[in-house]
Amino acid sequence: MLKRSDTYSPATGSHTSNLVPLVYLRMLGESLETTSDSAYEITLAALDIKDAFLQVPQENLVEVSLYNQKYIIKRNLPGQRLGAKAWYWFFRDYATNALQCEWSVEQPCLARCTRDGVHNCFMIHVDDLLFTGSAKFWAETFLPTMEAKFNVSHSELKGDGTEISFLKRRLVKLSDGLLLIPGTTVEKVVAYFERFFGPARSQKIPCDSSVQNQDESRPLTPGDSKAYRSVIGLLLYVARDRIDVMFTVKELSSCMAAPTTLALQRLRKLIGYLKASGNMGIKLFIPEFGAGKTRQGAETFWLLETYTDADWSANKRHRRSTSCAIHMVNGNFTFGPSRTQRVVSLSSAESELHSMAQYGFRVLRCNIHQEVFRVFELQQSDPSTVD
Amino acid sequence: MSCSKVTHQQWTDNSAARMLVQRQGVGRIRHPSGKILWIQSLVLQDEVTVGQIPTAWNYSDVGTKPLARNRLLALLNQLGVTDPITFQSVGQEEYELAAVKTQHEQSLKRLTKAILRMTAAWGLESGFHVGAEATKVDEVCLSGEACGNDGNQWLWLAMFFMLLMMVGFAIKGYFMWRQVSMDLTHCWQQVGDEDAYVATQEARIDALMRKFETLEGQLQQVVAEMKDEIQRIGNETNMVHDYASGLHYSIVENGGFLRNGLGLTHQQWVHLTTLERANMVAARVMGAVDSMRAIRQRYGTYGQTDETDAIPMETEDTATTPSSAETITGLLDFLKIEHNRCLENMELWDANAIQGLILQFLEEMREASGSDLMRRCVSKVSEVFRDLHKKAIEQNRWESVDRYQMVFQMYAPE
Repeated sequence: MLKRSDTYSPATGSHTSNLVPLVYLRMLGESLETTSDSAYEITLAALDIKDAFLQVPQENLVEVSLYNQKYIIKRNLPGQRLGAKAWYWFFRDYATNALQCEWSVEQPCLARCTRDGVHNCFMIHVDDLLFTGSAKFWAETFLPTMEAKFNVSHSELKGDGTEISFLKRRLVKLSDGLLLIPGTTVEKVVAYFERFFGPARSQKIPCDSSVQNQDESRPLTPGDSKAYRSVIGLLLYVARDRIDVMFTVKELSSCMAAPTTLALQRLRKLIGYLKASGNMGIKLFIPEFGAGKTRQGAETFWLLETYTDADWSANKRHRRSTSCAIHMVNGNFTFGPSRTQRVVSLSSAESELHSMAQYGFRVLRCNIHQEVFRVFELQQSDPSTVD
Repeated sequence: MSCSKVTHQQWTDNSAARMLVQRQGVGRIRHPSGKILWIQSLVLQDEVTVGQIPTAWNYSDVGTKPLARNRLLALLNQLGVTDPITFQSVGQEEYELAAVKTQHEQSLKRLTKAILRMTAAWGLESGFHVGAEATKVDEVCLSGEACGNDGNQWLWLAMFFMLLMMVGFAIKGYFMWRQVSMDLTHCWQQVGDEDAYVATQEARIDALMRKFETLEGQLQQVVAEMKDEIQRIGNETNMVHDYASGLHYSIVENGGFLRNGLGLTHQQWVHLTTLERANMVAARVMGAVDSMRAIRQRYGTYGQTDETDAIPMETEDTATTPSSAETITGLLDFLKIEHNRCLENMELWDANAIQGLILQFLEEMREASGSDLMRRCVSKVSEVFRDLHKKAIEQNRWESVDRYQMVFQMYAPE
């Protein structure tokens, strides 16, 4: 098969999705503190471009035949391999020209438009867009510009209790912060599981320590295996926002290739836990200068704290350690991956070190860290220093 | 590099790992990797600060191992997990419990350290020291050897102070014991007072009970007397009632009339109603004054009321067949006979009609007189009886039919 290298299209990752809301909360906190005459209204808004791909002209005209009729396709179609990339560049060019915005180098999904000393920034994920900044700029410049070119639908946080939805997540405004609620509800997952495997009893914990034991039970039938895989597929979405089941989902997804009856038992326990615990959201508080969860009084406004940990080869099946790194920006949870390390560690310090390097440093350095910086820098730096 | 905009703090609970990244070079590490040197350089450049936290508050435990429910909820609480419906933090209680536990553990650790340090300072150490404490003890011992006399002096001084403290405690203890015994005596006295008071109260309660019982007896006696009284008054009432009925009866008998009859049997009632009706008729016919006079002279020359009753009884046999009457009086007599006959045969509607006719005649007699009256009366009689005749045919009373036919033919206007 032909390998191609030109399909890359920038997209946000789960580690970036909490950052724009955090910037919003910071601006909100600052606007609450300043006096009324210099204050400007801050908004957080989501925009959905309905005809994204159809806007983009086809790079090379394509001829297709449909019902013995020949057609020439001039525009991109959804599902076309090159569509995402072409759309990104099409949008980027349009936004740069129309709004004079600057794009982040490290995380190409982020952009900034500075107007009247306010750094409005937005994040684009294919055809979904999350904007934060001055409400006036949004209503008078940004939205009309978008509406002029595209067919869009949009929503905006108006006051306490209102909500918008971005990338299958609900963002609810509270009086002292934002609540992020996963779009894939627990009820949906539980119902899906129970349709295939029957009811699950309520559980107090997502798994017990036996989840890492050797698994010698017999494999599931092909039909059950398929259902097992689709339930895990849903759970992987849920685990992105559910810190409590993250670890269990990781362990269960490791036997997706060949599910066994024991794995199904463990999955049943996890579903029982989800059923008992119900939906959970993550609350982001208004950040304060240099105040983190454990460390206080940093010299910069933003303080990124990374908590890393590793179990030292607790998994009896492959003896590779699990590492986890919880990233908190000014005491707010942003990203927490739980992964299995690639190597077998010989000492606990070594496994911890791997954990630190793998997530605390490597992933962070290469991805999040830069992105975090970029978002915050975009939002923070003086306009005069950016040419 | 633009990293100065964000401070990066790295937390780990493994001191070995922390030490590794905070030093420079690999030293005698057995499985070194390139990552270590890279991290070390970052730490050296102050890009990242590495710190250590207690395992209990390492939030990344959530993603590393299966946790107990309490721990899981406490950590989730700290990560800002919130119920999307109630907006309440998850696991607040668990977090508070865990925080208290950590505090206790910390203070316990501090206490242990302080005790160890004290024993070391007093030179009472034995062989149970470990780690850092052991080195400290060694240092103390070394300094003790260096100037031995000073060490002994310190020991004596310490013992002297302990003796002093013991004496102090003993004196303090004696005073406290005296205070306590005084308090105890006071308490016993109070208990005695309370007992006496309770006894008086019990006596009072007994007296009150007795008083209450006497009152109850008296009350019962009074109730019995009252019952007798009620019985007696009831009897008297009955007697009075009978008496009133008697009076009533005699009043009506004597030509008076009452709207309400009390205490009469049904038979008596029927009789009285008839009499009353008659009296009323008489009063209306004669006028109130004449009627009263007639009543007063009841047993005098007038005896019409009785005679009215008596007439149909006497004439019943003679006037079985109706005959034409020439005068109004004769006509009335005839109608009375018919009335009585109807009552006897229980033809009450007919009796009623005849009675109405009689009353009408009496009314008219008061106002007018002459042959004109007579003619009108006769035509009315025939009219009424013709109606009665029709009704009797409808109801199949053949005996009455013949009779009424005869009457209305007899009085029919020529």
